Amino acid sequence: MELELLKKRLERERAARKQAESILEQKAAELYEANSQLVALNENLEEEIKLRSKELSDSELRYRRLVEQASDIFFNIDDTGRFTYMNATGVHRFGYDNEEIVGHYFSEFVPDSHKKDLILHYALFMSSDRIADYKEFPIKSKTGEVFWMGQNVNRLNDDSSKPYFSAVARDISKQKILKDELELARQAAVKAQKAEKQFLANMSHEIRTPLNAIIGMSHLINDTPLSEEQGEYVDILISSTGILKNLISDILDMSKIDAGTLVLQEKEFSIEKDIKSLVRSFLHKSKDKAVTYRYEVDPKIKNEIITDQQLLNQVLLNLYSNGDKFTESGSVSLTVNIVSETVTNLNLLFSVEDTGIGIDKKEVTTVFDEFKQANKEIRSKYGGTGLGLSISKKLLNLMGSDIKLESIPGEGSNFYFELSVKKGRLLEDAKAVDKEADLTGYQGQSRMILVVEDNKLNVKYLTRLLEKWSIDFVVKSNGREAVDFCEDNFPDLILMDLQMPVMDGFEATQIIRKMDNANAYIPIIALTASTFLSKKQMAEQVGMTDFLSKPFTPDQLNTKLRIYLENSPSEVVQLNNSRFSDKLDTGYLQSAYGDDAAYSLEIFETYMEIIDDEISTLKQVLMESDDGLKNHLHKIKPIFTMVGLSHISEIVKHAEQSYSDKDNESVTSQCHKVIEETSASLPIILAEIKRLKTIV
Amino acid sequence: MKGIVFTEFLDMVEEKFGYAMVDDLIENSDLSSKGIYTAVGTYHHSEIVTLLTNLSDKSKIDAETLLKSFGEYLFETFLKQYPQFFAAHDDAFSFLESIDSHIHVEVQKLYPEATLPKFVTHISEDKVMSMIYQSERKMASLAEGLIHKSLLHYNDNCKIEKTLINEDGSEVKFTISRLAK
Ligand code: HEM
Repeated sequence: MELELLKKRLERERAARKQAESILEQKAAELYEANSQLVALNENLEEEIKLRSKELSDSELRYRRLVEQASDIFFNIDDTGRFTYMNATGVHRFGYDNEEIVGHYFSEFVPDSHKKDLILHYALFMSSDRIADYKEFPIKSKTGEVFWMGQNVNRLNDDSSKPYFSAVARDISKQKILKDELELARQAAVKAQKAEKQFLANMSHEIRTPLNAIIGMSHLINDTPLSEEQGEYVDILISSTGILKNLISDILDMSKIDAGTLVLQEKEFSIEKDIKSLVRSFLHKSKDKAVTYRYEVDPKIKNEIITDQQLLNQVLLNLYSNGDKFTESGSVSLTVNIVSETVTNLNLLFSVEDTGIGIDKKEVTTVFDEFKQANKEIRSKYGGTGLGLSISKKLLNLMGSDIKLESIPGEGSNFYFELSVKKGRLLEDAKAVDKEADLTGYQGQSRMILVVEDNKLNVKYLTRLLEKWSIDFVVKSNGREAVDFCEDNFPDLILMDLQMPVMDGFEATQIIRKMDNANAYIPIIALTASTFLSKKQMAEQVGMTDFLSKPFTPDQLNTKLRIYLENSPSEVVQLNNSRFSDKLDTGYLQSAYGDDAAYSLEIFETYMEIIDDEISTLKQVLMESDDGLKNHLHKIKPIFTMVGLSHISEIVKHAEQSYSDKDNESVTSQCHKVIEETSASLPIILAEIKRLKTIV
Repeated sequence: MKGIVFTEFLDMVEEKFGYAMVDDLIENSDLSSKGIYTAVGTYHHSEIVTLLTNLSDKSKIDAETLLKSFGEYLFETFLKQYPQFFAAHDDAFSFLESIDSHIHVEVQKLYPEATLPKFVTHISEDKVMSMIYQSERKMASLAEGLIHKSLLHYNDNCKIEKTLINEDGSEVKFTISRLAK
């Protein structure tokens, strides 16, 4: 039994050993296989490496050749500032041998005058975290000749991570000279331009001051008892000086248009009145010609218009005088017609037609060029600067319009243009208001105004007006005196000339604004003969409240006084009590905006911006027969309430009701009512905006 | 399962019960390997189960106790064959932690066909170590024997608690708490 067991045991162990051997043999075979694969792989790798190294050294060779033969200068510098390499181009340009460059400091090749600059510059570069840098330096070559080198330097790290610099550079001497010359030329041009501007500014001032006196005096004469004939002459005197004033500004405008500094200044006025006085000034002018001067204004124009009156007048005057100049007999007529109309805007067609000599077809295109008249004979016969038409064209372009011309030689010309203007007050309302505001006197509480002005004529003009309006005043003839006065006296407003001897208006204002009395906040209105924007900006910067351009009309001065005197703190309360126009839903407006005039102004202005589109959409959806109308009615309903036009919202509500009742006829009539009412209410809204603007 | 488990198991049986028992087990268990094992070979896991159940029947000692003893026996073998794994640690906790993160990882590399258990360990404040055993082979008692011997080896005076997380024994939690020396 024991033996049997032992035998079995041996048997099993032998079997186990055999099994183990065969497993191991198999493993050995696998190992051998794996090993030979490894060897093959290794050989492949070595092959690959050899190939790559060759490619690398080839491309390195190519690269080195490229660098050596490049037209640019290549060099490397170590972190101590010494050259470690320079390509042949560089060596050649420097004029030294390679050994005279490599190992030497960069600074050795820079003239003494620039050594400090060089060292400082690259010290800064090294301490910054920038990796690239461009800089120009003069280099002294071996022959002693100095050339300028512009170099792009890159910071790199070598194998031991020590920084070095690799640069691509170029001889830029030629460009440098060119650039310097250009810079000199530019400086000269800037200087010339400045001088020109200064000249214009001075001229503007010089001409305007005497003109101001003429205008002022004419107004004063007008206030004295005059015969009917005298009155008429003075009227013409006033309107002609006005025209002259405009003309001068126009010439200045030409330069301003070209300089791009002209800003549109919108005004609300009656186009009919405007044109009437323009055409009337010609009636008296040319009594010796058999020419009829006519004007015609579309009777459908029911509103005052809002646009830049001065620019429009200038254009019309230019065109009209042009027509007059070339017309010996017949007529010159100015007509204004409505082309199209929206709730807020009018598209007007202005045309100036004459029966004069006409213009040749081939010259039609050139008459608008500067200083070009149709031809030489015309110039010698009719005179003039030739600026008029080109100014007109430029001004119209500025206002978003363009001038057109139709002409038949020997029969006459027609200059015309379309202009989009905003609608202002209804003409009827305007008339009523004008009467109210007529200069019967300034009806405020008793006030004291400080007038600071050195020009005696201006002082006279101003003080006569103030006397007429029963406003107390004190006159000081320069800024110094005004400042002294303001130390212990408290006027309600200051009218301040800008250019004065001893101390000008800017300086005086600055001092007054720094006073620790109530005068620091007093309204100061600058009187300036300059229409240059920069003067006005300067005035604002030193703390002036507003400005009035000289020459000004009594009306313009009165308006400013109304704004600033009525808005002084003691009367603000009163102003707030008589807030919104009672033609509007004051209950709603008061509850919605309270005393926040700025907020209500914003709402009213937004209303003006959107209402046109909303009404034209309404007209459109009215024609279509789907849900568009219902949606639109719903959308516009609240808009009216927001500006106090609650009654229109009511009509919209009715229209909505009729819509759901399917009463189509009633819907249509109510929508039309909405459109009419919106139109009719426009002047009220505009007046309200104007009023709010004086408060805000 | 690796051959070393079988050869060691049979060595243990021989040592404890004599070669007659080994012969008896092999003759009376229906083994596809016919009981011919070598450390370098790999055999089906069910064979160790069969061997163990039959040994339990014959010796009247329950299988878990046998498996635990086998663990203790195996520990000595590991200690002799792979001293480097033990030398790397000073205390039992850190050694036990390294089974899953290092030792069995190395084993798996050496024998890709090995099927090893997973241990999730956690030591709190150097006092208590929890060791969750997870394996479809349900040989937690083998682990218990191995752990027990490890503690002795490092002279770490500890108490081992064993809790079944999964009733079938595929997930078992060992809580090893250090006792005051
Ligand atoms: C140097 C130390 C160790 C080595 C070299 C080692 C190696 C092995 C090997 C080769 C297997 C067989 C796997 C198979 O063939 O599929 C195994 C299984 C196992 N080892 Fe280890 N081991 C070591 C330490 C430990 C310790 C300390 C424990 C205790 C916690 C442990 C627990 C286990 C268990 C429980 C199994 C059985 C397989 C299973 O349950 O899924 N081992 N080990």
